[in-house]
Amino acid sequence: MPLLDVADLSATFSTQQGDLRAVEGVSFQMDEGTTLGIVGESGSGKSVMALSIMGLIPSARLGGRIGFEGDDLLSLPDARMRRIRGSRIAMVFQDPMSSLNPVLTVGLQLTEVIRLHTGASRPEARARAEELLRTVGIPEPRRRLKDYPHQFSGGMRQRVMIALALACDPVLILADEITTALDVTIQAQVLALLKTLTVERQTALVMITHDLGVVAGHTDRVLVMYGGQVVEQATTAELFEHPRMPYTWGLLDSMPRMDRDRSKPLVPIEGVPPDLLDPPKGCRFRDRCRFARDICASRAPDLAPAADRPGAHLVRCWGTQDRAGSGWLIGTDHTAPTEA
Amino acid sequence: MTGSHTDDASRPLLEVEDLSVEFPLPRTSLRNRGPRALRAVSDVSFTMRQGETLSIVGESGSGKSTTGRAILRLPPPTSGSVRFDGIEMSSLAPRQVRDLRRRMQMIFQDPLASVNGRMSVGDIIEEPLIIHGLGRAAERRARIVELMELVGLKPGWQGRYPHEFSGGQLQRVGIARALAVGPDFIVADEPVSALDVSVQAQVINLLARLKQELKLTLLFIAHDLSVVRQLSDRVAVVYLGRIIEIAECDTLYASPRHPYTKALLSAVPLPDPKAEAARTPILLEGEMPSPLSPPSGCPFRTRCWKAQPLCAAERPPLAPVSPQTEVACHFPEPAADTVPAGQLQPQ
Repeated sequence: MPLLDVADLSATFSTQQGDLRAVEGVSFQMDEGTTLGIVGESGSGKSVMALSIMGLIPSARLGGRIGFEGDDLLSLPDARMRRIRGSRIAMVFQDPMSSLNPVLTVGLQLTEVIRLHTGASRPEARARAEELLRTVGIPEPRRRLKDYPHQFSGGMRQRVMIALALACDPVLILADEITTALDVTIQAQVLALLKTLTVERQTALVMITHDLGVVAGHTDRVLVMYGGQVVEQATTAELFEHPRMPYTWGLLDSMPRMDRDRSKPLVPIEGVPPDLLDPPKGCRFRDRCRFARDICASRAPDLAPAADRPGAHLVRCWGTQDRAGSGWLIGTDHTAPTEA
Repeated sequence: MTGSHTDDASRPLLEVEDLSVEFPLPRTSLRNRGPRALRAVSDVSFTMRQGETLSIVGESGSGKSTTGRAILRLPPPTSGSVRFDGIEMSSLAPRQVRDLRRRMQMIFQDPLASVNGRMSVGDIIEEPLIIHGLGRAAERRARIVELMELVGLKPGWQGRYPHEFSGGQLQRVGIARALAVGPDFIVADEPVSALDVSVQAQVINLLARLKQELKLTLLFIAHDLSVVRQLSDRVAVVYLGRIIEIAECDTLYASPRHPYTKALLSAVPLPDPKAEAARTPILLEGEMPSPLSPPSGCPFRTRCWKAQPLCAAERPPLAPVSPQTEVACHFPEPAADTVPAGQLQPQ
């Protein structure tokens, strides 16, 4: 049985302009000790999805199923969910300052979490908190327990957040853009730390990011999200070697890359993402896709196996699926075709 | 609408010499010890040829933005000299500085933090023309249309308000505003860092095109090494307020000579799982020291794996190690054998 089994998850917000479906029809599974990358741009629904798993968006109407250790998290009573949150599943956010209490010492915040979830005594919890700070690479952990969040640098604060997430030895950690605000040398430190921790503890990790570079080096599988939907899903090696969805090509071609010839201009994705208050009929990417045909406007493609990559490579694109008589396949070579 | 720009290719357009910027720290009853000023930029010197793109790259707190702003006297540097087209800027009266700003403009990371959100986009683009007293009303209206087309905005949108635009479109508005008075020198401070990658590529390409079409000299300030590589002719790497390496762009990426530059480049994640698996980033220990208490000698020595007693005793000067590279290090990395081609603009 997979550790996490998300089936047809949707999240809808009621707004003055009508219903906004931020996440729609998302399904994936994760085993213990594996790392999943969720990639997408602003508004793609990646953060809302993580918050749904944590049960942290009361304002959204959730649909589908989130299977975790035999339970459906969407139908658990609040009290059970509170026990799971923090002890079995933990989340780390982009901005540690919005998650840490500025007027309490880091030590107090850590020991509070440990005591709440494990019932440890105060001295036991303090010893464990010190040990956690040491684990995440904070120098002089005993002294730093007495410091307040503002006395830590950005990178060190993110380490404190990781220590908090590890406090109860969760089996699943959700990390939402946790290195985005960090400088590149500090990002490298934090990513190396996460890798060590997940390998040593066999913790499953969901890494939500806009950075395909971070995904390439630190995940086993990848979901690419666009307009609230998963548009491509494969192992990390497969996705980068044989990207099949034109949106994924677009992302890869629009990135400035240090491993490419810089004399060639970047190939941006023209246009803007769909308005989820009024999503387009058919494929959500078609307005920006240079391969779009009539069928893309009239019928929405499902997430289905790519014609030339049978197996576990799923794509939401008529042009790469050999089904339903779409009658055409685009770019079966492994590179993005360029326009004449 | 352009001024009398220099055609003399031999003389640099911009000459920065020993530029330093200090921010005074107020004395209070709670804080009456320690340094009296924070030195954000120390003894920075470089020159820029006309039409060149020089990038200043560094991490938060390295002083890169302060350097760019000090060149435009926003605020003026504490010491040092900035000569623009041969004119020493510190010798100018405030009115003359303002006149010179017609030629020196700035693009910001958040273009609208500095304008009134209740102004229409057309008014935002027109404002610099009014400030500098350029053109009659009808001429200014024509110029707004011209500028909006130039940066890829529909002129019909000029009556719209900032909140109706996406982040990428807003940055185009910021670029149009900077270009309104016809500058030939632009400081662009992290202009694409807040944008999603697909939109970021649009703005990078726009900047590259405008630079060519308008023959702009561009001082590009950024932390993202991949973006910097895409746009630059030369790159200066700053650490704790000082340039520690300055080199021709392809040379810097292929053969970094300062250990810090090498570590920075190795820390950039590549979107290629095989390449990522094959390499080990150089993990620097700790963080950049506070500019309130900089280390003696080399600013990078506290995190450098090659540091020797000499590095604490003496600060290495920025000195040429090859025709393409100047580096401030007692023990620079050896030069790599080959430098691949792919230069944006052969000079």
